[in-house]
Amino acid sequence: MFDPQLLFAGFATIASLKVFPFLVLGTVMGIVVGAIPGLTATMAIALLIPFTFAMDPISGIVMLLAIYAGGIYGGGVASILIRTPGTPAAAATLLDGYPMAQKGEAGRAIGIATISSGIGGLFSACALTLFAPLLATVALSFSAPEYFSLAVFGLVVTMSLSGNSLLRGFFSVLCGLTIGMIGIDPIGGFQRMNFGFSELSGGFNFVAVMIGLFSLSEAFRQMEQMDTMPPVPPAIRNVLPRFKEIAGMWTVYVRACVYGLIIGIAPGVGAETSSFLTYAEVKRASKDPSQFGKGAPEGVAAAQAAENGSTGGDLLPMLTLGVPGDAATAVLMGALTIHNLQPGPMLFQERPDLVHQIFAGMISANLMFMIVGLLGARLLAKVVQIDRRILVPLVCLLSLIGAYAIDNNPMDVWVTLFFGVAGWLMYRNGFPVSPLVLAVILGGMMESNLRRTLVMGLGSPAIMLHRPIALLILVLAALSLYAVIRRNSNEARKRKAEEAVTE
Amino acid sequence: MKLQVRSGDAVAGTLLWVMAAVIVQQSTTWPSSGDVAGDPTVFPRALAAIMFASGLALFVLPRPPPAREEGTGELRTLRTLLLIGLTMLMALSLETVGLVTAGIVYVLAAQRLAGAPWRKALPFAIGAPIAIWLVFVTVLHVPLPRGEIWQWLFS
Repeated sequence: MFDPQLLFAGFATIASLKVFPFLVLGTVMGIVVGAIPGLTATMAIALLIPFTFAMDPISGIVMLLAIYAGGIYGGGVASILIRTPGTPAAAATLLDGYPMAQKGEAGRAIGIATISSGIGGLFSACALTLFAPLLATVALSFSAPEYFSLAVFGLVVTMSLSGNSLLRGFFSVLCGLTIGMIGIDPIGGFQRMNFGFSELSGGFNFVAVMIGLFSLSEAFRQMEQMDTMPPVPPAIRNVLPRFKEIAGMWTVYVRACVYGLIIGIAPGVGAETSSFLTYAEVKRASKDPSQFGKGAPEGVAAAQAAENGSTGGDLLPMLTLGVPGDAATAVLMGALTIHNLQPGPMLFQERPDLVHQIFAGMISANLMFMIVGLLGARLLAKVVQIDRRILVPLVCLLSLIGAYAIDNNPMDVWVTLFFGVAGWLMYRNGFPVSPLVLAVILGGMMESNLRRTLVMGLGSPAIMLHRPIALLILVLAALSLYAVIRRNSNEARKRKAEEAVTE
Repeated sequence: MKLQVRSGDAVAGTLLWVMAAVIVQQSTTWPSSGDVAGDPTVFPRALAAIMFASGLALFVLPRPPPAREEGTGELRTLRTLLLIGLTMLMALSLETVGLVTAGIVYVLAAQRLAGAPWRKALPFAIGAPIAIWLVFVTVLHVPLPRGEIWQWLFS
């Protein structure tokens, strides 16, 4: 259960000299990487995991949480200043943030974006603190059938919501499940599918796979689009917004926080979906929707608050059930396992102190990026202008070194390179990468729990019919799959009709 | 936007068939269900069957084109391919010549390939590998390759 005393002790740990510098460092790195177009928060976490190897677990985890929160916020800065989203999630901020900058209100837009991200992030971090222990308590009653259903649900939703083709998402999931099978049988413990390579006896190193898919492949992708230099950003003045202005947007914040949290909890979707959905909803509910898209501060506030409002929700299923909410939390989960911490309900039983330190870390990270963002707004104008011709090769180098540093094993460098090329090719051909990563993580959970379920049912899967929670989760997975298939077929029909009219 | 079967999808379909065949072949060598709790071949073989069907669907069903950004012309693709080649050379030489030497050459070559001018590229190419070395080895105590060639020369 939630324990206020443990939370205060967690804040004391975060404020200690052993952890606090890493909170600041992580926040700065997250904001910087997030603000550079093309570099995402997920990439920043994957790239910087190796730096946490030598740290004690809580310092490393707090630094990664700060990178995560700061990275999500930082994406909006580039949207406002140079009309290029720093991260995909920040595309909704662009709609009103850039018009505000064009009107000479770049500083005001950044100020509103910073405070709004902070409000959304703090709300979701507090919700995480309150709800995660409750969900973990419920999850203690879960058995193999429920975990199998959760893994199926996570994969179905992830593949449904990524990219413009369900089948391409499914391809990614199947590849991820196959990659997850390489190494050791999860129950029998025998070697399988290592093709005689002793280096593969434990399977692919997950961190090396993530660095390749999220960091190196992104660098390869950036190399193709490097002919244009970012435009010169406008001058930044009057960053600190007036209290009256922020307080006047409370209805926007209520919507953004609730939407952000709910969307964040849903597997497979995160900041990107929540910011666009909230923006659309706030615009619909506005007294004057015509102002949206022309520099409405409410638009910036809605997008940014929802973006960071989803972060706590994304962390919730990962921490309590071991099912990551999106790609960024999948990478964070990998980082936790590196520090010998297995997310799930048992973590709440065995290490309540650490769990509360994580909550305190998440709340502190959201406060910290507000402070750093407001104080360093003028410097951010320089960050968005960083020359990518210099930066991208450095990202490549850091990816390779990070992979090597995992186990001092040259094989991991090749694994990263292989998945870097694979990720780049997948992107070029419209195959989403996130479902592959989630499938690698959830594959083992899915397989071992399916087998345990079959043992429980004496070889028959009919046992699922007698487990209401497991059945409900499977029905939800089937419904979401049906909804996506129906949506896709409607779109295809519409496209055909449009083509017929054009011809 | 025209729906059609694309070469990328056809390659992916073939890949699924190959992976399905490999899984089925490999699963014949695993212990039987009598030796291990739950049949260890159930999940992989079910997966292989789904893969086979999905591979077929990728060949047969038309899909919309990938939402691709601008700038994936031939010249730019060639640049990425060259960067991949450079990265392979870096991975090959990492242990032999060491991180700092390989890193300086790699970063400089990659930056020039990206179009960065010498005066900008050179300081970063020299500074970044040294900084990474200092952070990992000196501050974090994570060992990185010094380079066999240097160890041999100075031993």
